[in-house]
Amino acid sequence: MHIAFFEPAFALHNRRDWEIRGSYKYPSLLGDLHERAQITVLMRTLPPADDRHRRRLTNEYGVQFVLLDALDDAGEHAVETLVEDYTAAIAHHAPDIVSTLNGRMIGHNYALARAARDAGVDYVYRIAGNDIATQTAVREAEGQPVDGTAYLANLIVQERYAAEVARTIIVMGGTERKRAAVLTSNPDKLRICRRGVDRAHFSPSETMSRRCDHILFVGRDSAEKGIDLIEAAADILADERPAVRFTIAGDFAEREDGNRRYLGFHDYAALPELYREHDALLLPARSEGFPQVVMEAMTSGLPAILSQSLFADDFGDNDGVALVEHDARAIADVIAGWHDDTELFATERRRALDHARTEFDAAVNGALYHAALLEESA
Amino acid sequence: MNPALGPIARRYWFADAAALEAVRRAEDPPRWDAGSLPVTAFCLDTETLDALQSLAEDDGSLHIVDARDPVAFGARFADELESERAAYLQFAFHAVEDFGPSLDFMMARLEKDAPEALGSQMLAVSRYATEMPSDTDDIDSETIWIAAKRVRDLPSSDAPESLRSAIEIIVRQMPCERLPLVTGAFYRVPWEELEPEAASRETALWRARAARAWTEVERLRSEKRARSSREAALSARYKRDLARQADRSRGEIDRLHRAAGWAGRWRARLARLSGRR
Repeated sequence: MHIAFFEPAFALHNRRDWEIRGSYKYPSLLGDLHERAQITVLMRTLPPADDRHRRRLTNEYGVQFVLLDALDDAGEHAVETLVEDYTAAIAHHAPDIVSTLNGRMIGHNYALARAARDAGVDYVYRIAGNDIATQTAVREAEGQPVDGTAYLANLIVQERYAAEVARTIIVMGGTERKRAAVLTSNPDKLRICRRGVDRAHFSPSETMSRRCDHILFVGRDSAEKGIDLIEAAADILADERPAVRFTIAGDFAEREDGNRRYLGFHDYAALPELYREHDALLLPARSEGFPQVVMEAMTSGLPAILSQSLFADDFGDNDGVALVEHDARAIADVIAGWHDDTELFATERRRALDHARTEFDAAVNGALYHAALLEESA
Repeated sequence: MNPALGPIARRYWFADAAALEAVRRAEDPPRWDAGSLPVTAFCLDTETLDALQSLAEDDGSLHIVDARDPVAFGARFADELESERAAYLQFAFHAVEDFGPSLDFMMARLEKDAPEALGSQMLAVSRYATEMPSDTDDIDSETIWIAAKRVRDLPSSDAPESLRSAIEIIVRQMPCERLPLVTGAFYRVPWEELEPEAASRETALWRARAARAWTEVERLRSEKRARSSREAALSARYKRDLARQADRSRGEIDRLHRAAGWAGRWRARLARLSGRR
């Protein structure tokens, strides 16, 4: 069995992206897959041959890196060229299955679906998040109309084409499963496969605080993440609960602003400490798949405050998660409740840890992912 | 398509001036690669007949039927059905923009599974916006492919509107899987749209035109990327050719050198044999 993954290019000016992919995203997804399949990773630009992550992926995960002769532009006016490039790559390398490891925008998945169908090979559509909702939120925030436009129409026809052609559709959680189920005539081909968390790397602090004072957000500075809601909730609590502090970590310029602290990028090695320094995770995003940070934070013993609209089908009442509307007052109320009631907060912590233990273990999730990739062709 | 058997499917488009006007007035419609679906256009007025006849001159897949005479409409329709060789028909009462790859997928399904009917989704394009698929049980005849044999007995004297109702009744009565796949978009005619209030109309118009401008920006960006990539590829090929040329020259020099060495050795050996130096 030969699987080819069509991945974003390595870019010298964006080494952090490769750092994330090469150091833990790809290793955690691939695991021992090379024992059951030949693995090819195609990229328009490859990391240097002596890159330590490339060497590790080659030596320990059996990855063969291959240069992909493609423009890598999935825009409406270039996508036909991308289809041709992918078709040529499939014809040359002759994989049995094509897919992506990294979550890719709809245009890439559409081009891959077209090329796979033309070549008669299996296509596994890994939906890492609601790309349409994300693009809509980001572009509308930048002043570019998306709702009701031909641009959105194009994304919709492409997404549904890819979903219909796919042999298997991999989604990250229950909410995404519900959304994706209407994209295909065969919802039985949907599988929930999260990347999971290495519990040897992420674990709770031995001296966990009894109070909920330190609230953490981890993510990109992007319109769909709901950072405006975090800041508004922080403003409310600055007066009502001055002891509560917020850390907003991701790709921010480091600074302090009242009860808020902004931090820059934390690599994989630094993340566990960041979680241990905080008491709860806050992620009121307007569009997400199933973020890795939720799994990492809960495995580290942080209960989470998440968007009702995105996670209603993923968490119940006893999972250590508070689901909230996109409303700063509602967010502030949950934090104040956990801050004031140490017993309630301790219960939520315990529930978060229990849920993470049973649902987010990387080994369990990795096996599910490999089974989904290989099934029917295995 | 097997030419001996006729096309897999054909669209019957009942076209009038309102349908053409809907296409003209749309501010930001999808523009897709339509594929080559055979279409029979029943032109219901002179404007449409003139417009589509000129299109048909360059489009072999477009067959024109002059259906301007309401009294003769039924007979013309019956004649077309009688001579129809396509296995499946779709009845369109709006102008349709096809999404070629999805349509191709549908054709493959029709050919492989040979169902009585098979449906898909379509987006509705109005003047200022494109509506998203509704995924409801509402049936637009444009979304359904019906086995031609099931419509042979349609009443022959009906006008297009009653034909539409008859087709919708047939579709409701037969088993019909509807795929979520979006095979295209149809243009709402003016009286099917709710005209927004003046202020909303201004906003809608601005959004549609801004979206169209952004599409143009994206097109130019893609073109720029393609051009710079082509230039990079040409430059890489030029360097590669130079390197190959240098390799070839080096090889030739080596060969000549080796040949000279071989010839020199033989000359020396012959000289020794002949006693000459």
